[in-house]
Amino acid sequence: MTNIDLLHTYRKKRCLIIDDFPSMRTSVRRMLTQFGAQQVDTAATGEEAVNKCAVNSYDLILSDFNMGEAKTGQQILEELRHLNTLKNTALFVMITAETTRIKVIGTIEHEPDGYIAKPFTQKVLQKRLDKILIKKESLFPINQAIDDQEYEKALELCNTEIESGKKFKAWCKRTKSKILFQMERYDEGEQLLTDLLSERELDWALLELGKVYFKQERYREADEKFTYLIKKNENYLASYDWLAKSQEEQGNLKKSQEIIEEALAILPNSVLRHKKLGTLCQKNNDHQGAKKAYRQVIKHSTNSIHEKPDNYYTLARSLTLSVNANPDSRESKKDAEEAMKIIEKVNKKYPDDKEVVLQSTLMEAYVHRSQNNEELADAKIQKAHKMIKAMDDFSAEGLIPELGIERAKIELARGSVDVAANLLNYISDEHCDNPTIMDEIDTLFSSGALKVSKENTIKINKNGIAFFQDKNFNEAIITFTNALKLSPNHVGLNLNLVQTLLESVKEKEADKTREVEVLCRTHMKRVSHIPPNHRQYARFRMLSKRIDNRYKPTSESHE
Amino acid sequence: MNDRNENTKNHLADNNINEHNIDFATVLASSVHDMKNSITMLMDTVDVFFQNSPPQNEEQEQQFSTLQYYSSRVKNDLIHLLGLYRLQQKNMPVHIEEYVIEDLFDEQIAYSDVMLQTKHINVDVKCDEDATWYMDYDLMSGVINNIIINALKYAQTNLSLSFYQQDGYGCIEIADDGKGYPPAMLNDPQHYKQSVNFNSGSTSLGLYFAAQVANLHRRQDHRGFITLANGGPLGGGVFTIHIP
Repeated sequence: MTNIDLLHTYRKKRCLIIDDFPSMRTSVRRMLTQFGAQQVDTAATGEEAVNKCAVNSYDLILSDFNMGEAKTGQQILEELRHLNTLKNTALFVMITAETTRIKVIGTIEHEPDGYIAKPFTQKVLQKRLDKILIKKESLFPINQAIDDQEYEKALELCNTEIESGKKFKAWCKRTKSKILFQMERYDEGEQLLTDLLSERELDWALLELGKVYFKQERYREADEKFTYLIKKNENYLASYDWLAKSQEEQGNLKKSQEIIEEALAILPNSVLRHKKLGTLCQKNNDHQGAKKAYRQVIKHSTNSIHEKPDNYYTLARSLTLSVNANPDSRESKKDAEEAMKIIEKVNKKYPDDKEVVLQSTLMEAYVHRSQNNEELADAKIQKAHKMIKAMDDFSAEGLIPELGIERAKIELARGSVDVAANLLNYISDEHCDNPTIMDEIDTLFSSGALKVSKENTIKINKNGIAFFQDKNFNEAIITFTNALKLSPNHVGLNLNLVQTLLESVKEKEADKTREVEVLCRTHMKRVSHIPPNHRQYARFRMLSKRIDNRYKPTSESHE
Repeated sequence: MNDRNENTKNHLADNNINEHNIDFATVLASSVHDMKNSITMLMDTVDVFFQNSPPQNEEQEQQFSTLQYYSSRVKNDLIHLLGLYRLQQKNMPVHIEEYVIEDLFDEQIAYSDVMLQTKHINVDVKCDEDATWYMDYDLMSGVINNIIINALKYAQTNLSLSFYQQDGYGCIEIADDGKGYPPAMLNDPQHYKQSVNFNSGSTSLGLYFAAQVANLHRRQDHRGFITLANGGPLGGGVFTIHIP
């Protein structure tokens, strides 16, 4: 591609500059205009940027990484990818100050297309953008294969590029190791990385090798790599995340908490790290720490994809747990008051959401109980009882365990034994490491009020998977569909059904595909609320893409 | 990991409150940051000005060249100052990755474009387009820019940038057709610390910084180093940085 071609390309490109400094916005805007761009928009905050991206389809986005207290450029990129508002040909370039780049790399699966270090001149920006554009175009087939989860093909393309000794071989080596990791081919990954590292010590390869060791449950070796990387560069945040994960896996929860705290001292606005910290504090019975962490979650998730009712309930819950732990302390009254205020806030924020109103009512009962106001608590339970009667389905996914138990008790009282059993099974699966919760569930089960229904969701799901693996797709579809009648919003079940439908359609006649498409889309819609950190998120994205790829012509003609 | 240096911003926030307790070094470091941003703005303005109002005569060409030379020099001085401060604080993280050499050359030539055009200097880039090497890109950019700007001051009509591999080292060579380095400098470029002479301007500090950056690049028992020579492909000074 010649320079003239590139200039021509910029002329047609719609650009967005994201920076909190007006002078920087003006300066970069002038630069882009100078080399041909005719449509250049600017945004001062992540929020503004996300809104603009919803309206306009940008070809080039230049975003500053560090915008003070507000969302980082990385968070903006994650949101845009999550909301699917970025075309896959769009370039996202991160502007970093020196030594901050390491804070970005390796921490998340979404990397920007390129980086440029501040300060720069127009000519240098242009050179860099040209290179990033060429790189993106050259590597498009590999990225496309990865997006479609055609990993074998992606590996093959990477190998060809590496063997040819072309300029993108470094990127391909790195990508190859990431694909092997994704495919859980850890032994091959280990081989590749140790070979590379015997030649030369590269930070990314050390991190990837540590991750492989972690997956192989070789924790001592994994920790050695992560610790070494942090010692080498204290800003390498990805190493903190993995070291904390490894320590947690080994049962060193205190240590794990400390590591996350250190990472947050370096970059204080990561919602997911604050969330992780909250969970760890809770497990460590550090109620003060948990309260602080969950307050930060609410603060930093405002106006982002991470903003959701659950954030409020986790804080209210941690406040109440703190009260329960020290009922006579001076702080306990204040904590209970704050919890009530938090519930008020979430009600105001989501006034039309029936689930929220119900959750809040249960939470109020829980807080009242912590204050020994049994009468008030019972009144709230009565209220919740009425609400549940009026609702047809609900989701147990991500439910706060104490509220789930309250709810199961109500379901029991109104005779919905199956629903209660499913709910309790689900909670016991998710919170098997929490002795208080497990004790309560055990008591309920052993009280005799609850006969464990043999065919609970988890079991049915397992049967369905067995059918799927035997390629008995029809049976699998029936099994998953039945299970979904009990737990309509179960993320895993919905995705299992969609995947089975997509597999089965290969063997059916073409005229049935429209029906399958509608079914797939219905079930995808039920789980579309899951955040990027959800265990099933990658799978959700993969399946969405598969549906889009397969049904593109049909769906467009129906619009 | 426990004795981490707080970043500059935090230090300032803490220290400014108590005016009797200002940590001058960190204030200086933060001012240097600001100066670096400002001078880059200035350099960019010179670029744009040059593009929009090209020089009409030799005198104006000379003026443009001077503008770019001195602003680049200030910027490089600031980079050296900041770098050496970090080295002294033992807070100079080196992040080595594999980079395309041509990209490094192209960007650094772009930074010196005004001088190249006004002094009518021809740049010869000798490097395989697929050649890559392992380095800290930002640190190396600082070194290469400084050497190019300095070479441009002395070059008559030609400058050459080349990359080759030798005994397991990647070598970036910058040669000009000027009068070459003074004999005293050719002796021992690794030890410019002793010979930093505040009367002779910033040249030695730049080389000292280059030697330090080279030394931060390590592979097993090998350390990077710089060499200086006269003669070379164009008959002038030849600077080479060898990275293991």
